Amino acid sequence: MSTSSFVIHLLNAISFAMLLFLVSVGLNLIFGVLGVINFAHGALYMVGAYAAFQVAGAWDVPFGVALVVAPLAVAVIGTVIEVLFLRRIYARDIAVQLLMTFAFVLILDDLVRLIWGTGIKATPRPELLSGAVSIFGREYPIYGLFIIVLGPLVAAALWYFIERTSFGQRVRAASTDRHMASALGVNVPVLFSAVFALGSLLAGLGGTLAAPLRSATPSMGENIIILTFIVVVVGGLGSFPGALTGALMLGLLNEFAPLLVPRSEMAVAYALMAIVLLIRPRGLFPSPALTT
Amino acid sequence: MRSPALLETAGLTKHFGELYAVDAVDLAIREGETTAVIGPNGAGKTTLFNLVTRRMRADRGRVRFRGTDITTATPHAVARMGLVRTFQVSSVFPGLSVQQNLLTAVLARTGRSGVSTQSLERERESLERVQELLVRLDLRDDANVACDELAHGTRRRVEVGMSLALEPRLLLLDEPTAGMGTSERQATVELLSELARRGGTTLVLTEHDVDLVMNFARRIVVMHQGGIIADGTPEEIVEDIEVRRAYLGDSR
Amino acid sequence: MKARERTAARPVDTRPVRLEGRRQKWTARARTLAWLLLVAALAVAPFVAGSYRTLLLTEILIFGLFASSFNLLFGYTGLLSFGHAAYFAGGAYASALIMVEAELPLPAGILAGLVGGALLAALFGVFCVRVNEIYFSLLTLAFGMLVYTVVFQAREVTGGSDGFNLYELGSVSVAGRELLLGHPQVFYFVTLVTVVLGVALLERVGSSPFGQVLRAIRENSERVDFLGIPVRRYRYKAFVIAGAMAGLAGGLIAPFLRVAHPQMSHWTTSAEVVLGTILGGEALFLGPAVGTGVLIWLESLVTGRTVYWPLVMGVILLVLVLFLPGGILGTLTRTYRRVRGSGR
Repeated sequence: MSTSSFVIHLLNAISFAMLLFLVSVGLNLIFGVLGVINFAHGALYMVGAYAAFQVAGAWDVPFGVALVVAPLAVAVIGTVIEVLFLRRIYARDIAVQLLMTFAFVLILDDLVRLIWGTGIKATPRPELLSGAVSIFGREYPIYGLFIIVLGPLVAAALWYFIERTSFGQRVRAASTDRHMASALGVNVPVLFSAVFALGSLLAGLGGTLAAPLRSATPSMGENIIILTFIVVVVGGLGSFPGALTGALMLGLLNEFAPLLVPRSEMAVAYALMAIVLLIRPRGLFPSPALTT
Repeated sequence: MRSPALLETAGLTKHFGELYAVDAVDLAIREGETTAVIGPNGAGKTTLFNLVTRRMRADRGRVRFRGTDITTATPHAVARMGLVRTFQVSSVFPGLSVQQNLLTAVLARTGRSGVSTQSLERERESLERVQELLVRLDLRDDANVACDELAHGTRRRVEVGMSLALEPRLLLLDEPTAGMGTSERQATVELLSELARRGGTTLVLTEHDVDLVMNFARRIVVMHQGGIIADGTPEEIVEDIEVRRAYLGDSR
Repeated sequence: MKARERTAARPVDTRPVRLEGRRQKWTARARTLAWLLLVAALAVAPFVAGSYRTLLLTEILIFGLFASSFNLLFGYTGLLSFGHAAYFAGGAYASALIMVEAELPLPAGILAGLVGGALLAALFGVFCVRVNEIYFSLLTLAFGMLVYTVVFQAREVTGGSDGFNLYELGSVSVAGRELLLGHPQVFYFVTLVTVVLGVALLERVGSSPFGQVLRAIRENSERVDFLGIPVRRYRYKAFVIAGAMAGLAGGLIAPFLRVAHPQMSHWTTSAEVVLGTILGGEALFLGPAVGTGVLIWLESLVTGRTVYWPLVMGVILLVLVLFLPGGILGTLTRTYRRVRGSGR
């Protein structure tokens, strides 16, 4: 492989890894604080992509608007799910919580089919980011670089938010011990809603960014949730560094494995997961609570 | 050398970050030597039990049980060798009846629980053993009550019953009387004393209440900040404690 | 709550405990009778019902076995699998391959389903039983979708998205009469016999000492470990048995539908048994089968009118989780007990 094609593949891998990271870190945030695995996280990602299509594709509004509106819309949906439904069952079994979020996978998937049909919905790339730059004599789309830059920015913002703000402090307290946090005056129900909304926002952001890249399809939610599960199982549930590491590993495998053996990307991803689990059953960054 | 130790730890250490919960503990328990491990909260008693029974992985040191190194054995292998424990917070099967709780332990002992189509009701011997235990622990009235509907002390007895069902060589009891009323406490101590007298099972227990263990433990080990600071007969320890009270103003 | 505190002052009662009261014995007999009646009713059903209903009933039986196998993991062992369809599909493809490629008769195909499901579960189980609760659900889902991806992509072997078709089921001669196995009524009886055997096996395993240990694992796996029972090994055995029985159901579905299809391994198929189990109630042995039966029957009513079946399923699941813990059968038995209890 020439240097230039290697670099192109590497950039592809990283930009995909950043998408995966955004979605995975949202899932981990929700799990770390609420203790709930949100099966519907992939469905929220998909809703984000369709919302982006609706705004930037169907209504032809600038993509920059979609970048704000679509994730926010998903955050609102997430808040509704948390406030009206999920909140009622925190005291119940983990299986019950999984089942409820599973119900939302079925509901959201079908609602998307109901609203947008089953066809592929392509969102045009924003004009500002539609060009390409020359890297080692090869053209590389600016949009890919945009995602590569955006990923670490979001990660840094999240880190700052959790580690340096008073809100983040309360989030960390609630993730370690929600009863203690409540006793210390943290409004846990509101905090949980906010965290679920933020996690959903990240899924929606992932979906929005993916829309111009890979188009919106009804099966994109299930595809991403499987990959996300692999990422968090490899990285460790509730861990931000775990999400980043897992996403990068999966992104690289996803790009390079098929070059060696065609169509092997999923098989290699599963192999990675199996190996990590055999050595470290709780992932690479095991933790009892949220870690940044 | 006296009779070989049933359980032996050498340099056993566990730390959580900077905190050494158990710090280079050497402890040998001989057959039939009923021992109480006492000490304030956070002294490392429970962690010591956790290390010995492999609930936690030791950072350093070795554990030998009946001459075999069990430092890296699995919890179930350790239990099968006859080293059994109870937990500080009663660990039972909450949704199952008392009878089913005991039956599970009996099945674990007999090993008659491989994949089969044999009905439970046909397990005559195991069921008879359950009956004995129900009588012995005065649990007969609650035989068909689910464990999560039991009073605290009763649940504790179920756990002790499960441990007895295993006919252990060494039984580690983590605060067996925690949360019990005075009379219930006394009954439990009597049950344990009787068990100690019978032989076959050596008892080691942790306890907050020193007076309670004075009567029937033959040996008392005092832990403080992860280490053993005193070890001797109850009389020796009482003197030692007097000394401590006098000099350090330690209320325990 | 019947919290009881007792003092030690009471004299120790040494009468033996009656573990099996007369009522229990009666209940056991009633249970056996109910089982026989159920099987008898199912045996008569195709003579009363038309072809369409017979076909529907065949599907309900097959999914009933599939759901019962799922419940060995969920209801008994406390492991919520979101990828149980993998073993169902494994069985379906195994039976289709054996019947078409090796040209073996139907019974061999059905058995191949069992073996296929068991082998697949034996492979994935190694990883899945190592982890707890949430990780288990994630892993089973991931492995389930691995199977889906593989059967979808391995077009040369599985026929890809078209599925793997089988057309001829052959015939048997019974009392001098040639019976076409593909005939709805004949296939119904093949299914009935297989399902009854499979379900009976699961019931027996569930009420054996092994099943007792599984229930204990569900309640408190750490306790089981400290009793000296290797939890992982028990989970693994349960996983393989559940996979084998799901495979057996798959071994029926492929000849029944004359196709083994990737959709059979898709997570939505897993979702159907999860949902059916919750609907019927996981605490009762027949709960999952009944719930899944109701679901299939509902589906046959609804799909004629709407293509949005998943939406309906999702809403049903939501309602169940919020308002009907214990499922239909669970709620019915609870109500029955309450009514009877208040009458005393």
